[in-house]
Amino acid sequence: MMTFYLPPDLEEEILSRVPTTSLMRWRSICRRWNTLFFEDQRFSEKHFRNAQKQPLVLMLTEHRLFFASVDLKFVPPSIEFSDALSLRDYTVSEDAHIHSVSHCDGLLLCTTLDDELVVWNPCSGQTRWINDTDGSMFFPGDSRFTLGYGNINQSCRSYKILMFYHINYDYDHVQDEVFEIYDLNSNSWRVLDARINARNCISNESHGVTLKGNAYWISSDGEEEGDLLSFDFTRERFRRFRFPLTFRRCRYRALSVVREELSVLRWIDSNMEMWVTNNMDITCESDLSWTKSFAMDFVLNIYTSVLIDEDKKVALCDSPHEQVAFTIGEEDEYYSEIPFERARSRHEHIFNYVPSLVQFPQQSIESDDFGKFHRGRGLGHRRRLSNGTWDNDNMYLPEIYDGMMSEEDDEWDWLEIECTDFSNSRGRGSRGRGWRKTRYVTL
Amino acid sequence: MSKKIIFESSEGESFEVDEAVALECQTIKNMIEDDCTDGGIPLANVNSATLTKVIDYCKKHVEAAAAAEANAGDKDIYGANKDIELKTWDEEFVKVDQPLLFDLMLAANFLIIPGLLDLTCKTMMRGKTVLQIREIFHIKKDYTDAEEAEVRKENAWAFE
Repeated sequence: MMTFYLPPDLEEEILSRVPTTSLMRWRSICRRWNTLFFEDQRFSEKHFRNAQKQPLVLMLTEHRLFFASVDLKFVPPSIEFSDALSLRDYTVSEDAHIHSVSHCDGLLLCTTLDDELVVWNPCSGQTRWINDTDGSMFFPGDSRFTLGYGNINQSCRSYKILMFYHINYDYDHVQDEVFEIYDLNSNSWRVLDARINARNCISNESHGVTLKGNAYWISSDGEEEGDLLSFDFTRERFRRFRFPLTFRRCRYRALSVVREELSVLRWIDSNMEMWVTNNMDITCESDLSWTKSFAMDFVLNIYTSVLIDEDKKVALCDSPHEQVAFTIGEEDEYYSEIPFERARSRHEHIFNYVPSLVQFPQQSIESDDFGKFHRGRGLGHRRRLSNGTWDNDNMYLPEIYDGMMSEEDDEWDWLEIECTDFSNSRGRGSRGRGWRKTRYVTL
Repeated sequence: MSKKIIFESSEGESFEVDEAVALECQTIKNMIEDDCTDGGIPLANVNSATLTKVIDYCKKHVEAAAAAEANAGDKDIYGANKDIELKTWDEEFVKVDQPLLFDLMLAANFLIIPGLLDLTCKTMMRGKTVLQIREIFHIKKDYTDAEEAEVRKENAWAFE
C-alpha cells in the first residue's frame, strides 16, 4: 500500500462521500473522526449532500428496532436480523420499549410503550425527549405523530412533528380532529389552523410515511378508501392526490417509500398490484403519475409493504393478524414466510430507512432540565376532554416518596425533587422509578 | 471554430482543449471569466498522465451533456439509457492504479470538477480495511483496545 500526502480539506471531501454505515464502523479509527462524524454539524450537512443514500430495512419487533437483510439468492428468500438498536432511556439503564415509529432523513420519531415521544438518530445516538403542550412527558395514547421538515430556504430544513388526535365529547362519538405542530427549532407546540376537507379522513388503517419532508396517508371517507392525503410541512397545509385511475373497484393499502418515490399496493379483483410514483415532485401542483411495478395473482391481507428490490420486483410485508413477515414478488419463487413477532397494533412494523448523520438542534437548557428529569413509567392514561383540558382521574398520584414530599408541593418543587430522586435511583436498574407530573394546568 | 485554452502540465507539456471542455473545471471557469488565460494555464501540481485523463473526463461529460440537451425534447427510456452509459463509462474510467486515482482526486479537488471529485473519492474508499484507511489518512490509533471495543459496542448493528 502506498502512502500519499492528503490535503486536510480533501479528507473531509472523501469522508463526506462514504455511506453512513461505513462511517459507523470507522468511528473507532480515531477520536477526531468520531467527533467529526457525530458532533460536527457542518460535516453532517456535507455528508447528507454528498453521500449516496443507502436504504436499509428496519423492523420493529418486540418493541425494539432491528435492521433486516433479505437474501434473495436463496429460494425461498432468507432474512437475517442485526443486533437491536439501543434507544437508551437515560433515567434508567434499560432500553426504552418502542411502540410506533415515523422517520425522515434518517431521524426516527418514536413513541414508547409509556406514551413518551422521542426524536432519535440511531447512528449518532442523539435523542430529544419531547414534552406535550402542557409540559408533560406523556402523551395520550390515542395521539398519532409524523415527522417531517419544512424548508426555511434551499439548504436549511426545520424538522417538525405533526400530532393529531380526536377530541371526544363522549367515548363513542368522535367530534373533531385536532392537529398540532412541534418545531424542533423552537421547542414548542402550536395548534394548527388546518382543516382537512373531510373530517376523520386519515384512515386508522393507514400509517403515514414521509417523503422529501412531507407526510402522506391513505385517506378514507367513511367506507371508501381512495385518495392520497399529503401534509406539506413547509406551507403547513393538507393536499389530496389521486391514486392510479381505474374503473374497477379496488382498495389501496400499505403506502411506503422506495428511493425517493411513493409505493402503494392495490387490491383489484383477485390480484394485488404494486404501484410506484414517477418523478415525485413535491412542488408540483398537478396530480401524481404512477407506474405499475408488478402484479401478483393472489391476495393477502397485508398491512405494511416495503419494496426491497425493484429489479427483481420483491416486497417485504407484514400482515395485521399473523406473526409472520412475507416476501412477495412477481415470481412465485420469491414468496416466503418468516416468523416475526409483531405487536398487535395499528402501527407500521417495516420501514424503508436511510441512515444519516443528520443532527437536530439541541434543546435549550431550561427545557432540557424540564424534559430530562421529568420521566418515569406511565401509571395511568391521560385523556383529552372536549374543551382541551385533561382528565387525570385515573392517574397515579404519588403522595409521599421516602417521606420527602407531599401532594401539596407545587410543580417546580416537584421537578427539583425529581432531579434528586433520579440521581439517587440511577443505576438501580428498575425502569420507571421516579415521578411523573401529577398536576396539569386546567384551563 | 471554438476558442481554445492551453493547459501546461507540471512537466511543461502543453495540452490544447476547447473552451467548453475547460469550463468543466470551476477554477478554470473563474479564470476565463476574469480573462486571465492568455498564454496558457500552468498547472504545476498536475502531471501529464493525470492531465490527459482529466481532459478525457471533461470531454466525455461535455459530449454527454450536449447529447442529453439535444434529446431533451423527448424524455423517454433513451434518456435513462444514456445515463447508464455515462455511468458505465465513469466506472471504466476510474479503473486505474491507486497512485493515478489519487492524483486524479487531487486534480479534481484543485481544479474543482465536482463530478470527478465525487467519482474518485467514492472509488478511493471502496472496500478499504481499517488498516488501509489508517495508512491513507496517516492516522495513529488513539483509542485503547478497551475504548475501541466500547465504541464498537455502541453500534454493534453496524458491524455485521
